[in-house]
Amino acid sequence: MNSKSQKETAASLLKVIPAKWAVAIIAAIIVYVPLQPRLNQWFGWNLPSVASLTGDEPAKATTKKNADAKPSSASKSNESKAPKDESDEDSDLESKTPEKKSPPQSVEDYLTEVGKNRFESPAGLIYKPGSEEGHRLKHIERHLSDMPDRPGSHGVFDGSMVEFLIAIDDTVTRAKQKLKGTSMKEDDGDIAYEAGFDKPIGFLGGETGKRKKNPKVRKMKVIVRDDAVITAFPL
Amino acid sequence: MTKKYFYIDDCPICSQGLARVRVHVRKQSLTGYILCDECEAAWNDPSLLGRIPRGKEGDASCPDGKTSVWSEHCHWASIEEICLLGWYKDIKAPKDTKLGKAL
Ligand SMILES: [Zn+2]
Repeated sequence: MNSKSQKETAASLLKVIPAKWAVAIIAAIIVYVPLQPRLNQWFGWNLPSVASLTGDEPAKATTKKNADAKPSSASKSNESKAPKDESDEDSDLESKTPEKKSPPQSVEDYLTEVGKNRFESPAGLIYKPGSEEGHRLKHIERHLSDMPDRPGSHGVFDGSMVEFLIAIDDTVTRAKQKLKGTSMKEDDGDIAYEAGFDKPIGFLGGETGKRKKNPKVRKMKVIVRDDAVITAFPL
Repeated sequence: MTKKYFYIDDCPICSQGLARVRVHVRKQSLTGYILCDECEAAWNDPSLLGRIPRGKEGDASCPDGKTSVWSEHCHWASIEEICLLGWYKDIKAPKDTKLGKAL
């Protein structure tokens, strides 16, 4: 909507509502406009601006979405001296958006070390020691290649380890938001997140996959306990 | 050589892991349990009813509730150990083994 048509809409509205109501609405808008960004900043709210309410402003990354954009900021975490406050991060992300598009190149870029052998993903998932392989990252790494002699199914992710980690974050983030094509199931404290993807993310391996001629798969399953990833694989 | 897997069923929790027999050996006594090799859900027996609660830090635990399934006291059961536990009738074995052909 451009400003001319916006003014016309406002003028036609004023004609059909009583004058005292029009005055009250205008007064409310005058108070709301300067207060909205401050309330958002002070209380971490996400109140929409008047422009966005009238549909005049394109959808902008909110504070919450900036957290999702952490992959690329995580790649710079080694250089940063001190944690930045949210408002700094907002302006930083907005001004450097084009640069942020390049995906992280390595697992070290994508994950942040949060303790001895403990790593955190931008979505808040923890990878720590455990499993037969000794570390959860090693355990899920098995799903980057096929095990054709393994009984049953073995989902194989078609991509690098860092792309796998990004897809895992995406699965959990969307499933937590209960978006279409996702599910979340709890069993004895273990939470199984599932989400579908637009395109195939890998293929079905193992003996069953081989028998079915390794069909492409476009779903991911992630088992999480207390935010720590137990395992993840395409299915 | 192909690694042999003796397992009870596909894991009912993660659907892609194999619920395999694992044993805890302590003072010459053998305790068997079932462990998914993908999501590490653990059960007391092949019925796959009644899960063994996870231990510290979410790691899978033996039926004694204290020992990690990845400790030196535990290993994947051999076919002899599976027979000793009386669970051979419960397992699915690779078809190219004598046992697999017999089952
Ligand atoms: Zn499982």
